[in-house]
Formats: sequence, C-alpha cells, structure tokens
Amino acid sequence: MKEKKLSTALFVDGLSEAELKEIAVRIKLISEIGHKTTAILDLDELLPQALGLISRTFSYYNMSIFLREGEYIILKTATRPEHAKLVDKLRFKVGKEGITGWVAEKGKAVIVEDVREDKRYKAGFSYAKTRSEISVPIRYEKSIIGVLDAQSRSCGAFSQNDLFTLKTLADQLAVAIENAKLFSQVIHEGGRRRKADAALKKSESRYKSLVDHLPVGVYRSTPDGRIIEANQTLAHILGYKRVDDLMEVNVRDLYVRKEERNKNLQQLDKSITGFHEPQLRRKDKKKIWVRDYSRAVCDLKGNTVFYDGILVDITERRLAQARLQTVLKELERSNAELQQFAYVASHDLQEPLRMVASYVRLLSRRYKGKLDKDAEEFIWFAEEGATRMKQMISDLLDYSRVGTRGKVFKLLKAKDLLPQVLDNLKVSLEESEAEVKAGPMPEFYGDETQIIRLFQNLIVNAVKFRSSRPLKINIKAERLTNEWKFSVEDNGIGISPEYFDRIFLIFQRLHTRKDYPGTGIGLAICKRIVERHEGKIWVESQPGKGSRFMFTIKDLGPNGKMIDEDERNLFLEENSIGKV
Amino acid sequence: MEYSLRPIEILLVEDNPGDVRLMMEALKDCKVQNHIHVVEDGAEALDFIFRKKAYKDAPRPDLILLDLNLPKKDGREVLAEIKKNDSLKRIPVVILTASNAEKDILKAYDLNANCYITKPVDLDQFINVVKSIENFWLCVVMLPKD
Repeated sequence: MKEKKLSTALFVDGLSEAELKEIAVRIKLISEIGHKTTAILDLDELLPQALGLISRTFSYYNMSIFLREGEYIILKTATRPEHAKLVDKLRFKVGKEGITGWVAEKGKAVIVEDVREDKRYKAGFSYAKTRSEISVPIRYEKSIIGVLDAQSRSCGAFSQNDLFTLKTLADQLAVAIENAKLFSQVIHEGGRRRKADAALKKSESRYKSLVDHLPVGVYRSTPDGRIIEANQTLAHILGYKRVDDLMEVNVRDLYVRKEERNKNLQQLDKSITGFHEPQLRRKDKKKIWVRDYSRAVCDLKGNTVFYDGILVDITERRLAQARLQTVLKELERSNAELQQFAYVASHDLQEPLRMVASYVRLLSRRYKGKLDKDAEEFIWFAEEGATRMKQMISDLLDYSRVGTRGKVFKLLKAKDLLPQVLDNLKVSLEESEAEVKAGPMPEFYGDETQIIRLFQNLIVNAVKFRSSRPLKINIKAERLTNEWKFSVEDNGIGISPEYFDRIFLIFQRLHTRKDYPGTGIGLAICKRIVERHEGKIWVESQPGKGSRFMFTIKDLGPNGKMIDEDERNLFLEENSIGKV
Repeated sequence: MEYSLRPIEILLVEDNPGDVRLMMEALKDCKVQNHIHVVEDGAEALDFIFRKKAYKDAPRPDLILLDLNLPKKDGREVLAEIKKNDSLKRIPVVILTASNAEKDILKAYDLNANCYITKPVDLDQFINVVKSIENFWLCVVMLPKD
C-alpha cells in the first residue's frame, strides 16, 4: 500500500494489522478534511469549519486553534462554547505562557499526560476539567504561524496516533490558512485600490467644483499670454460662456492698456507675488476693473514658466468709490458753504444791523422828549427788535461754531470741570439759593470748553426755570456699555411731554420773552455738543415737579471708571470757599 | 509833555456812508480839534497818504482809522503799504472793523497795526470807542513834530 508506506514512515514498524488499518482510516479522513478546508478561502470561516470537521471526525473533547500575531498566539476558534467565548481575547506569550506558548516557540509537538503536573500549563484559561493535552505547531515553510490544540478530561488520553493525526492536520491547515490569507490580501488590496481610485475621482471633482464655484476667477497663464487653466468664474468675469473659450484668448488682448500687463510682469519677476488693478476688456467690449493677484512659477533656472493667480471683478467697488468721492466733495463744498455762512452772519449781516441799531439809537438820543408819544414808542420797538436780532445772530454764530471751532478731545476729569462750571454761574446760583449736588464723576475724552458749556447751559436752565420751591440740582454719572450717561436733575417747573423734542431745536421757546428771556439757543447748542461727542441728549420731566436732562458721551478710553467715589455737595463747598 | 495845538488830521478809510456819518457824529463832541478826511477804498487811501492824483495837497495824517474790508485794495494791503514806508510807518493806525474773525485780528497785528477795535453794534459803545481813541490820543501819544 503506497499510501500506508508513505504516511506511516515513523510509526509502522511493529504495528499490528488493526493498528495499521486505523492509520489508513485516519489518513483517509485527514485527506478529506484537507480537501474540504482548502476550498474555504475566507479565514474567518475556515478556522471554525476546519476545527468542527476535525473534532467531529476524531471526537476530541475540546479543540482549539491559535494563530501567532507578533509576540503572542491568540485563540481564533474553539469547539467548546465556554472556550469559544474567549476567541480573540485569550492569548499566550510565545515561549513564556502555557503549553501552546511553548509549542509555538519550540515548533515541537507535545503530549502532556497530566497537565496538573506540567509547569508550562497555565490553569484558569482553559476548561477546568482538562487533564491531558496534545498540542502541535502549525508550520508554514519555516515559521510557526499557529498552534492546533486538543484537550481531554482523562489523564493520558492521547496516543502517538493522535500526534500523527494532528500533525498531519496542522500541515493541511497551514496551507489552507496561508491560502486564505493570500486570498484575503488580494481581495483587500483590490478593494483598497478601487476605493482609492473612487476617492481620488471624488476629490478631483470636488476640487473642480470648488474651484469652478469660487467667487473669484482662478487661472494659470504662460508668459506669452496663453491661458492654460481657468475656472468657470474667470470665464464669467471676462464675459465668456465656457472655460474652454478662454483657451483661445491671449491675456495681452484683454488689457485696455497693454503697458499695465508688462509693468506687472516685470514686477512679478522680481517679487514673485503681487497684485495690480488693471482695466480689462470683456468679450462684449465692456470695460471692467479687476484686482489681479498673481504668483510667478519658476523652473530650476529661475525662468518664469507660469503665472498662477486669482482675479476679482472690482468694477462695482470702483464705481462706488467714485460715487463716494463725489459725495465727499459735495460734503466738503457744503461744509465750506456752512463756514462761509458763519462769516456772512458775523460780518455781512451784522453790518446792516449795526446801521439800524446805531441810527435808531442816535434818533432816541438826539430826539428824546422832542417827538410825540407814538414816535417814541415806535423807536423803542425798533431798538428792542435790533437788540434781539443782534443776540440771535450772535447765538447763531455760537451754534455754528460748535462744529467749526471745536477743539481736540482730551482726557477730562468731570469732577474738576464741575467747580469751574459752578464758578462761572456763581452769581445766579447764589441769587437763586440753589443747592447743587454731584455724584461720583468719571474721566472721559472730550472738548473741555464745550463740555463746560454743556453743563453750564443745563444748570442755567435749571436756575432759569426754577419753581417757588428751594432749588435743588442733582448731577449724576452712570457707566453704560461704551459710554457715560450724565443726568442733571432739578425740581423746577418741568416740561410737558409734547415738547420733549422741540426744546432741542434752534430758537424754539416754550415761554414768552417776558416770563423767561432768551432766544432759545441753549439746548440746541447742548444737542450739537453732545452729538459732536457721539452721544444723545433727551429729557424726562413732569410739569410742576421737575426735569431730568440726560446725555451720553461716548467713552473713548480703554477702561472707563469713576474716579471720584464720593457724593459731594458742590454748592456748599463753593460757598465755604467764598466765605473764607 | 508837549501837545500840538493845531487840529489833528484824521484819515478815515471807510466805504460805508452810515459808518462815516456815525464816526463824524461821534467825533463832533471831541475835545481835540480835528479835521476828518474820508476816502472810500484802499486805492484812494494810498493816493491820499502818498499825495498822488487828486490828493497832491493832502496833509500828512496824524491818525488813520482803517476799515479792513474795502473795495479795490483792502485794509490789509493798505496797512502793509504804510508800514513798508519808513517815513509813514510811524503814523498810528487803528483798525476799525465789524469782523470779529480771529484771522483778521492776527493779520492786522502781523502788519503792526497800532490798535485793533471791533466796531460795536451798539451806538453807545461806538461813541465810547471813539472817545477812547480820543483819550488815547490826548494822554498817551505825543505827536511827532513836523
């Protein structure tokens, strides 16, 4: 028997007929398993199926296959369910742990009669009832790729025949495993390549779409003016339908002034990157302004081979700029006119007024008592009108000077300004027996003269429109986001809500000149001053109870804070200084 | 202190007849005897001062009252011409104008005007101004002798 001779070279000597028969059966079964297993190309499928076949055919109690991965052998399949749970988790360090670890290192098969007496045995990992164990290396060419293992609940359950069977099966398995690995590699590699190809295509089309839809024109051109790459936006900017149409265009012909291109290229050859804003001619001959950012791409010798760049249509912006310039000029002109108006008011209007006032006065000086009563009354009205007109012209000048004569803003300390304000108003404050209180005051940037005037006008108003009650004026400051809010509160006659806006208009008055003299310029000047400080002014009031004027001043300092934390009675302080 | 007893010669350079008349009225009550010569523009003023054309026999003014805003040559030019001339530059010049604008004031002082007076709108103030010129004349200035 050829088969017998070949496969039993080690064991046949001295074997009985029955034993030889058994070997023959085994070999037959092994070859069957070999056939079946080599047909399975999926590794995950191969190992459990092969082990199932082996264990069914040879009825071993518990079988397992470990595969080597680096320093470890790892359980890949097992027949007993409790053992199978540990697949991919149970591992032994090659040469250091367990009988299988030893086999994997030495490459020698082993039969252990009683595991309890074997130092290599590592309990706890496999089934507790294991007594004997047989373990053979799975060898492919010269390396150990895994271990085939079987266990029994009886001591000394494995024979030399079992060793032979398992070793032969291990060889078959090795081939099947390598086949499966190879196959899976081929499959995966192919898959990867297909995936990579698809991803590349996808990213290419994504970039093309991205570049095409950028809001700026993108191009690559050559020094002789050919466009060799461009996006859809560039075609659109230049009035062409398709990118391909641009390939027929020479960049030189796009320029309205050809020297602009030459100048830019000379610059780029020096500085590599840069931009310029030439005027181009579209396909439809329409002229457009563009901003062209470009970069010279050089070869190894330093010669420019391409210009890469992006192009933005700035025609709209240019037009808007031009419009802005026109408006600005117009504004400057009207500002100059306003200045002129101030001069006209100061000189040309005052001149005839002076004539009227002077000669009416001369009349009344020379002819007082020599004319009748009517004539004297007429002269009085003429004089009175001239006086009022003089005041109004001078107020108008003041008003216009808030803008034209404003000083540079500097850091002001409100607590130092208030005493100046009150000092200017000392006489009227004393006469009206006003009590002026001020809360903590901040530092802020402003026009000193104007801020003094602002407080002064508001306090003058409080004095002027006081009621019969003792006058109390309360000045407070409060920090808001990016600005300071000031309030000047009095307990005077108050204002009806319907006049809250009107009082800030120039020459608007709520009372007769007989009751309250004045032209009605004070609050209009306040409003102009506040507006020059980027703030707002408004009033809250209840007729008969008092008014609270509030205004904001934009805080230009980095961290505005109150510098004077005490509330002070300014009037008393002023008074006490006066008495000393 | 030595005073001249002859009437003082005043040159009034003023284009506004209303102002001329007011000035005359104000000087009527003046304690110092005076002759007022009136010219209406800057060119005429220079003719008077340099005794040209119609003013060959004009007296040398002891005081010039000069309005800044004049036809032909304005007051600034007239002032500059006077102060350039060595023999004329000692004649006191009082600038009389309605303009309060700072640039006018500074310009006048740059050109060595002796005094700068803004014409007051009020007649009483105007008369006071003329009186102060008179006082200034009587008490402060000693006339250069011919």
